[in-house]
Amino acid sequence: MNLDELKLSLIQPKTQVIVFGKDGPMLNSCQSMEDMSSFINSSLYDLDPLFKSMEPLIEGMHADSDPIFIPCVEFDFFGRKGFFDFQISVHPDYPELRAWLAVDNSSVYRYYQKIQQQRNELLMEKETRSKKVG
Amino acid sequence: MDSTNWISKKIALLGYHAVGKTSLISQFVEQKFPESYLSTIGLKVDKKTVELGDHRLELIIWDIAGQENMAHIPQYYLNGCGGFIYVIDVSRPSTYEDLKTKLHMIQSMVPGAEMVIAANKKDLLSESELEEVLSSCEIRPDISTSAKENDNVEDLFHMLASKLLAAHES
Repeated sequence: MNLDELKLSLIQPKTQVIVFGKDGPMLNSCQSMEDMSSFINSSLYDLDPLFKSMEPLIEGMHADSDPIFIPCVEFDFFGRKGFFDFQISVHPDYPELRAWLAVDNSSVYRYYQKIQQQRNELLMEKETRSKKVG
Repeated sequence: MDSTNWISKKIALLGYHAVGKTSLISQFVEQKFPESYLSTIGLKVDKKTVELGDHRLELIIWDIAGQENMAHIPQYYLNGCGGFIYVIDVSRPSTYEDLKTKLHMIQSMVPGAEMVIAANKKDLLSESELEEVLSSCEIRPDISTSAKENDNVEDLFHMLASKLLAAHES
């Protein structure tokens, strides 16, 4: 196994690439995380409100557009619940198509969530204490 | 009801951490109050359709992690936002200090967006204490709510929905 193969074998189980038309229909997908075959031709805009609310933004992308990057989305990825980083870009060969890269970073974000939680609770405790003293 | 009476709008809930943004959404969408506090990180998107007269308004609700500094909210979280609910916790003064500055900052990020200010956790205060807090805010909140007791939650979202509809029709 060369390094590229090794890299792919480590990354692949946590990533998925989905190609869809700019007006919504899912056209193709790898099956690394979830089997999407039953969703082919379904509109992403109808499948999930996140995409629905971004419809004008995604439709309006053109060949030179920067990818849309949405980190840390708590999401039900077709049955796989977790925290994902999303990137939506214009397909390099077909400007009317979009490529959606989904990366499951649940383990990292769950760790951050614990830290965030502790921090928030400490801040609230501190405020409650100072109110009582005041 | 024809399709011209069906509108879809993206809205966002903003405010400090632990003011009850996620609980308000949970109560509104699922009629549930989370038993324990779990900090939101990043964002979560939900939706619910409300009926206003002969209109159906689909609210796509972005629950954005609490921020002390509104300037830290990524701009793309707010792009295309028709309106937002700014939530304060009436039991924590830090969540409603400098309200004017914070709201101006958000309005500059989403110009033209409709706004409702919600004073949440009203169940933690007596009526007189609540009135004292509301009066002390630089901008008086539009509505007092309790996600825990499901008090005024529906009204809160309907208030924003009405503003969105009025703006849509004007």
